[in-house]
Amino acid sequence: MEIANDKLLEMHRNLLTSRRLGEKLYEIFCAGGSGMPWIHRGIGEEAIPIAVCANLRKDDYLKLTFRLDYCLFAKGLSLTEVIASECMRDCSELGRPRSPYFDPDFGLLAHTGAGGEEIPIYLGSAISIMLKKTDQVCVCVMGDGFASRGPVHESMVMAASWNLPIVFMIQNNQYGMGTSAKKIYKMKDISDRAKAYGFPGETVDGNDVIATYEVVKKHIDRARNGGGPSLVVGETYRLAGHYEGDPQIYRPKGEIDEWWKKDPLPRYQKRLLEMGVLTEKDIAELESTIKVQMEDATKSALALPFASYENHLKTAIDEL
Amino acid sequence: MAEQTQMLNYVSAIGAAIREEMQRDKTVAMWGEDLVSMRGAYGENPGMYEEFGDRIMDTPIVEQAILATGMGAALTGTRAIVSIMTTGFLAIAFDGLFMEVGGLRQEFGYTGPMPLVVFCRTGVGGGFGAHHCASIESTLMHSPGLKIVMPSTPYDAKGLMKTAIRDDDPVVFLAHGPVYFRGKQEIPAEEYLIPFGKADVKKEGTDVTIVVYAGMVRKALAAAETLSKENGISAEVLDLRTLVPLDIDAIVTSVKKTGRLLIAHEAMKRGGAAGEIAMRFTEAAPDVAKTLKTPVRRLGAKNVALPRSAELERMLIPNDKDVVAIVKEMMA
Ligand SMILES: Cc1ncc(C[n+]2csc(CCOP(=O)(O)OP(=O)(O)O)c2C)c(N)n1
Ligand SMILES: [Mg+2]
Repeated sequence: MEIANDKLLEMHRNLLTSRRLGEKLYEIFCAGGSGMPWIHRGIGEEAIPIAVCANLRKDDYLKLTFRLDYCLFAKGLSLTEVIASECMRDCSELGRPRSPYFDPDFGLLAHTGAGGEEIPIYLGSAISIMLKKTDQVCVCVMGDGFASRGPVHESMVMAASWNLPIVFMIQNNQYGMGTSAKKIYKMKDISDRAKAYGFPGETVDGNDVIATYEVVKKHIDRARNGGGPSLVVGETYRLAGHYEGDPQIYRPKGEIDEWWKKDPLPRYQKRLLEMGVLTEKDIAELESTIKVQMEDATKSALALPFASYENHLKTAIDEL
Repeated sequence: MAEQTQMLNYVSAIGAAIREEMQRDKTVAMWGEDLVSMRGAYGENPGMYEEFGDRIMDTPIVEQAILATGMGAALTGTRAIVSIMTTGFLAIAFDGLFMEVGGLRQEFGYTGPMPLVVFCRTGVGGGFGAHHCASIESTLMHSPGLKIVMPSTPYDAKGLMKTAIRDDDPVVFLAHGPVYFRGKQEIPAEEYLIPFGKADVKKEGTDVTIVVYAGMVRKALAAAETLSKENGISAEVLDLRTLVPLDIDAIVTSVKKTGRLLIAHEAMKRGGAAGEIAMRFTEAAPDVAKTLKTPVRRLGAKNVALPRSAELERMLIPNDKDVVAIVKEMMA
């Protein structure tokens, strides 16, 4: 598949931005007082969300895994909106919803705290697409852990039965909290699951931007054109602990070092340099642009107020 | 001879109870998410797995299956403890818990044992959003067959967990997350059990009865201290410890003495346990209810969802100042 240079560069810009954004959020969290109650880092797993977003329009529906929500800037949220959302700020001042993560007009239906419950909720957006006969799609990226959940199975049955425009994607970062995916799934290739539902399934190296882009594109295009649901499994690795402070007693020695070698960012940069699409100078320039953007966005995000008590009470439906 | 004691925090007290019961009875087994791999998602399983092998097991993220397998195992010779990380995820297994565990036996008139403990973390704090701390106990009270335990201290947690494991009926053990690691308490080294349906007078008083449980106990005690120091009001703090069965006698006895009844909880006010407790009191002791010095009052959280903000969350649930204020109104 020929990918236009613009697309390759867009994905590079987004991949680099996502890495620096993740680092910035971590810095904000560690400094304390930001309003961020906890942090579940997504470092090393950014290639999947970035490659997915590169195939989506603003009006498509998208759920990422909760630890990579910050990559939603690649779907069009501003960096300010992302940082503000992570820090529980109220974005109404920007003429945006209180949390831009919950903005159906933007294809975002938020994350519940109960992982897996979002899958049928998002499937509902695919039903709307079917009813309205538009050419939108819905992509639902879930973790290997939450992929075990009952609502995921029910959603897959229903999506197949109604031939709905949805791509289910499992981001297999090898762990659900402390539990290794290998202890849960006894098949070699998790995408074999698709066979049981009668739709296509495919596994891809989720740390390879180009490969992921191509596979995801194939299935998104298919769904957009009425071909129905499919399952893509992206293999990657959770380089950070489940949460910040996780002692990670479950991780075998040496495993993490092996995966650092497969870090998608340097891998993609090397590839683009070899292809002659990018130069070292481009990377350096981009780094400094991103740095400035990040500082500006952080400043404006943290200047936003927290959601106010009074406004929150207004969400009540009857006497308080 | 001086009694032997040990200092335990809340979560270790629960762990100690489970360990003792697993040693005592080989049919006790426990499963849930990350009990082994992370020693409990909230540290509630400090190293027990080494001792018990297959009797403590990690599951996939499958709350409905975790809950319902607990019921099946409990009906077939296992004394099961199933761990669901938080009340929000308990809601996922709602059919299993509310209808099946809480109802099916009664529907078929089956009177045999079903020794199941559903262990779950609850309690507001941290700003992690509703799924990680929602107080859903009153919803569970509405299921016909669930005993509901909500201890406030390490001592109570240990004694009640042991009783829960030995009970032949299903028990929902709602552990108060925010106090898991907050402070240790002196606990007898010798075995003790705390019976269900026995409230504990955490502080004696003569002017007003404050009925509380779990996270509200600490706040009521703080309020009682303020009331006594600053207003000369003597409040009695009654910790229910179990919502089902409810120790209605203890409430009546206390209110007979004080003539005033306040019920407070961190759960949302609408449909909360306080409304039920107030009516139970009125039904159990209409004569006492008739002679109250002031109408029964209640405190609960505002009737909105818990936001993902530690600060807003704190503002939505009652604190010790709210207790002081309402008691002063009741005394006026
Ligand atoms: C229904 C439900 N059960 C349990 C949890 C607690 N929990 C939070 S993250 C997590 C692991 C999720 O693993 P995975 O889906 O692989 O996503 P990852 O963390 O690897 O990105 C668990 C069990 C939850 N949030 N929701
Ligand atoms: Mg995972």
